[in-house]
Amino acid sequence: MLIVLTRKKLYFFTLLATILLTWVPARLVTIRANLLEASLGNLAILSLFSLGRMTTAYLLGLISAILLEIWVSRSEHLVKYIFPVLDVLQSVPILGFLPAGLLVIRQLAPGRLGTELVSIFLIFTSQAWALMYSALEGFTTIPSDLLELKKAFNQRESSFIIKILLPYTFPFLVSGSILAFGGGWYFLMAAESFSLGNEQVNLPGLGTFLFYSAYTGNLKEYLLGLLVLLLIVVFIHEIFWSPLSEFSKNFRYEFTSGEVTHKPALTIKLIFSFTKVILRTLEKVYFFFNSVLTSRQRVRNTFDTFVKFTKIVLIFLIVIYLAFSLYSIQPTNFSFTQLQASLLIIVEASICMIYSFFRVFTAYIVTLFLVIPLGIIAARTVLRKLLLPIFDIMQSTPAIAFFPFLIVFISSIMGINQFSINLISLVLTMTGMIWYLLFNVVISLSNIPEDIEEMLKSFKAKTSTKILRIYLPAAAGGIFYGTIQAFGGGYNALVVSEYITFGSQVLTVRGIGSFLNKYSNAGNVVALTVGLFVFIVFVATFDRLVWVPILNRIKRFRFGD
Amino acid sequence: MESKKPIPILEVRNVEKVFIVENKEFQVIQNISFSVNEGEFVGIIGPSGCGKSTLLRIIDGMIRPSGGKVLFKGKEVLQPSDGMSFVFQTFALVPWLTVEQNVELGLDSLNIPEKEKKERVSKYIKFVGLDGFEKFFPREISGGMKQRVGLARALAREPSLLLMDEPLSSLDELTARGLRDLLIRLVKSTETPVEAGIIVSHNVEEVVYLVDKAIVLSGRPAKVIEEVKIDLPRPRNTKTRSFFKYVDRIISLIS
Repeated sequence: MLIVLTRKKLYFFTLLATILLTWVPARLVTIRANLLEASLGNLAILSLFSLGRMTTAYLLGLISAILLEIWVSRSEHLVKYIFPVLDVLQSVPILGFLPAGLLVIRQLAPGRLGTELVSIFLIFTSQAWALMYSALEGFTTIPSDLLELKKAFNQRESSFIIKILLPYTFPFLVSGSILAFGGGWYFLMAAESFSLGNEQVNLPGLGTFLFYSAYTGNLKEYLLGLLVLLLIVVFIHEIFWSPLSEFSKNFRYEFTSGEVTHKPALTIKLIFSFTKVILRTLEKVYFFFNSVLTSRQRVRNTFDTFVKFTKIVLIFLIVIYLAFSLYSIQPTNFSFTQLQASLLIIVEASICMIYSFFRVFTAYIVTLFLVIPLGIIAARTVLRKLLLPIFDIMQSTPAIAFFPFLIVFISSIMGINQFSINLISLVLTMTGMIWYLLFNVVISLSNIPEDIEEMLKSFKAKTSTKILRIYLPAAAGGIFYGTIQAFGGGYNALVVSEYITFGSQVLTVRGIGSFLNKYSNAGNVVALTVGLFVFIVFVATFDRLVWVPILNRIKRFRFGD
Repeated sequence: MESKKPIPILEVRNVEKVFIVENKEFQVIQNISFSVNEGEFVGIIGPSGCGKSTLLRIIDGMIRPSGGKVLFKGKEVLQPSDGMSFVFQTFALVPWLTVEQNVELGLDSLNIPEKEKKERVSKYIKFVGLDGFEKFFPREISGGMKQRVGLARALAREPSLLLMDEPLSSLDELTARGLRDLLIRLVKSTETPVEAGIIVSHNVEEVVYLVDKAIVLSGRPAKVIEEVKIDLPRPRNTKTRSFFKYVDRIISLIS
């Protein structure tokens, strides 16, 4: 094979360089004492740091999502288990991952590198689920005739994955990426500036900058930081998400004819060439292994056993390691009062969980009542052209950056008392839920088949009929997919909506979010783990017992048995 | 006193349609004129993609023409009217409504009392042969039955003009055969208030079987090549020489 500098390779290296340029400065530039000062130069460097972390976490999430999808496509029975696991994982608030992240990662990589990796890990946990959900949504909706095509022509697994599965999933991954990146921005502050006991970690970045300017009450700096953040969001939206979205329309599975092919913008060409190179390499590797394995049955059997064995050993090792780490933090003298304290913590965590649940549930109901009319207006009226791009951008903008203004607004009307703090908390929780619902409702409403639209026009159906008989049932589909994610978003938002840092003040309400914050600040890893455990048990049980049957009922009504 | 010739129920005058997609102009219909008289069953036939369906939607009022106009009972068509009903190739049934509810949807814009609506729904469901299937959902019935629902919905409005866009193209030949005579009955007999019908089709035999007059269109941009009057008594025998001659004639006009 001749090594030729083709255009493809040029694109590849340009993209690689772009990624490195955002990442490398974060490693090489040393922190100056007054880095947090608001000057344009400083802000630019801080933004680069934050972008570098976001991009790294995003790419990790993307790769995980694709690998997950490939894994699920190879073992059919996995589909049943993967969704419940994802449901629970995505509901865990970012602080819940902190102990695990700190323990495992910092033991392996000490110092600044370790802290950066923890930060990237935290951002990853706020992005990866949206990506995995969208990849799986792609996988589960793949049309049966494409699957039959694979069987009928005896297509190789790798070929199927690269030529059919991934391209089909591409549009889903694009919309998932928009949600994921937005999710990352939402928790940027929590991921760059966190504390575990007497250890306060503040990584240089836009998140910390915003946090500190709010903390010191410096409105000018805060607004400046916000402006920079908005600029970045719009920039990414215009350069990446918008063209990707347009381009992904080429991958829709439809029978319409006479449509124009959406030409890819330059960014797309770059990304596409880059991905092609990677995928080609992957295909060769995969093909090699596959042919080696399938050539001899005995080799294959040995390989299978080896994989199973490795999985078991890995899990075993991780469990031992975690247990050991936890044990090494616990004081070695175990006393009865300690046991009592632990039980009390479990009770406290459970009570907080119940409070939080009601908060999330109320937020959900209110959000639903807002989203449905908003969704109908956004998708079915002439305002569509104006509202949809605005929603797109708002979705990527972290609502958390606007919290201070929300708080000022509400407190100026009703002062600061128990009721108003709870109201603020409710509104803040809603901000973490609204886009998941709105996004999905708008998509289902936009997917009403064209012939039904024409029919409604031809028969001049009344608006009330259209809303009651067509739009609401159509939206039910979106509500089905959006609700689980919205609840996850709501639970996630709890860490910032129940423990609200407002300048130098802290407003708290009773709930698992403030529980996690409180014990994180106190450095009580045991309590954090207990809280996490209570949280997982509650969410998983509630999901299975209550949510799933209700949603299945809606699914049956909307999609048929 | 001289007896005036009755005005045609539908007049298409110099209709033209241009679509603009991503800054490029596509002339779909160049210049089409024809008329439909009371009692006539007219067919519009031409090669695929020549704009027949667009033309039918212009007639219905769903789309405005770029030039020319359409007159329905002497009045210009500016929007869909209660006197016309449309039947869709892909049925356009709402998946979560029953057969009954789907038919009722067609009556939504009419100002008639609830009781009469229910009566009409019942009457026309029986008329198309779906008696007993009122509470079924579209996914539970066959393709032919789905189109019958579409027909019942169109008929329930008691229109004067029935517009059908390739109504039988999504069905297999056997099912389609079963429905063709129903279509003739709807348009030509006095059992329904329908006074005239237009069917768009790409199936030449179907058109020769059904219509009194075939408007043969060219490829895009569409123009009328010829109006072929089909003078065969009904029920038509598809195996006669005269039938073949008409089919041949139309096919050679298109190619």
